[in-house]
Amino acid sequence: MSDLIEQQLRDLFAADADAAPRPSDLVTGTRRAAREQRLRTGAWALAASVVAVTATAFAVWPPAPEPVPFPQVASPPTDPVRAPGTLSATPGYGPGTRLSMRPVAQVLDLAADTAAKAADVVPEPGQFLYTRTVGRDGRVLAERWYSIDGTRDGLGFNVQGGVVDRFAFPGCRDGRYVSGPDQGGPCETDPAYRPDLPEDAEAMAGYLNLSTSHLDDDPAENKTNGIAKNMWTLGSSRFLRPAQRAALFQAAARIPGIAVVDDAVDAAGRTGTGVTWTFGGYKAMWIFDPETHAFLGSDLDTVEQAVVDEVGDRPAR
Amino acid sequence: MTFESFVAEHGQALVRLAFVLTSNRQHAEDLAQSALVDAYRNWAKVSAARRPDSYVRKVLVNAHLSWRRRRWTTERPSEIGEAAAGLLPDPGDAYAERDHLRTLLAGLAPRARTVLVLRYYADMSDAVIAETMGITESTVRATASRALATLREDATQQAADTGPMRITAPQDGPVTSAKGTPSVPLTTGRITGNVLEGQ
Repeated sequence: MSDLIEQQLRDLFAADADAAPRPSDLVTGTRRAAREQRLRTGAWALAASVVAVTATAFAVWPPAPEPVPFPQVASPPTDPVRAPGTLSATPGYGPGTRLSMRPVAQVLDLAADTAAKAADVVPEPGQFLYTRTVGRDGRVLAERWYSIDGTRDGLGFNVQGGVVDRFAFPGCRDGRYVSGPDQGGPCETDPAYRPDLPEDAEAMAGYLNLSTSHLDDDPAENKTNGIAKNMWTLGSSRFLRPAQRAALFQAAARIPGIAVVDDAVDAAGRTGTGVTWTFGGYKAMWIFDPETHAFLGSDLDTVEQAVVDEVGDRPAR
Repeated sequence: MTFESFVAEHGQALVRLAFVLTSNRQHAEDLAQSALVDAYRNWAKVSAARRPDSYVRKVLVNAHLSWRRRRWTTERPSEIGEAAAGLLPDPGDAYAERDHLRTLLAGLAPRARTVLVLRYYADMSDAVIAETMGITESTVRATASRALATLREDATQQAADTGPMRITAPQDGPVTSAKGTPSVPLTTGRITGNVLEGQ
């Protein structure tokens, strides 16, 4: 419970946020500004002035109103969708949480065994991966519909301070965006389901290593950070078949500093076995059921996934 | 993640945070834009962070604080009021209350205001605020509790000055959010109702 002035601050800031401007095209604006800076700092003074003139010409051009993506899809509720989990000062930790001496590989092997036994469903290219992220307070933080093969437009909602943000993920077909402000521009397809993802721990570790090869010359911490972040993304916002998910859990045992905590508490308030690691100043925690070893959620949120046919389809609960 | 999908996902949230921090539409757009330019130029590194949005938010917050040091040191409450003229009006008492609170906030040091915004708008924990602003967690706690004490004192003072209190709920009674659910407990050392808030 917070006191009056704190509640007033929350209300005031939320009201202010509602009135924030909505710049029409941040992507193009940012690219242009970055390009200008680069040119200005280089020897291309003449080119810079041309760009500046062009930019000014664009700036006075009235921007076309941005169409609302998927207007037929209702926004997620801002009221809680489940009871709040524990709101302890340190997410993931409850009164009984303690560091365990058990080897992390043992915990993750059990988790992998359970994950491998899940029903094996192969999504169709035209379908969508639906994810819903719910925070510790029981409110929806985000919803996504990711195109399974990456060629179709997806949709996302973010909820912050009671304000819902709606945005599209433009599909990418044959190396070109199929919609959005950069329609026709070059892109790389980012499918929600990748049939070629490894199905054993060794190969998964190799894949993660390769996917962060641009960080090979960085300090080791950055490389670890990149790998751990990719694991997090794969686990929460990609469709993984049972063997792929099992491989991911086993590969996680190799993160430096990863440890087991007993009686960790997930975002929904469920107690389980946690594996936790830190990078870039942030703590990450996956929490598994102590009996079934099924993945429950993380310290900060729970993510539900489903495969659906259309953007806007929400699985029945 | 591509830069485009990052901006699609987080761009507007950054503008909103910038606006809550600056209370000025133009400054907010500039601030968000400059943080995104930074992210664009360092995209390999940003996209490797577990939470790229946290990285960019950190850039934004620090740009805000350094801009304030450089350019906005003359900002006064009256200008905040002017900036707030673009805000959606809300009726009656609530509006007057917010307006008054806005004036009080404008009187705080930029760092103190930033801590309050990160805590009560962005819902960051004190640890994350510390990491974002590059200060220690105890400084965050001390700054927040001093700022809250100042606001409480001023609100009480103002109520005494103008007769009837604008504040409509009992000071120490149970307070619930607009949606009727209890708010998250926080960590300043103060006893409110029957809840011991941290320390």
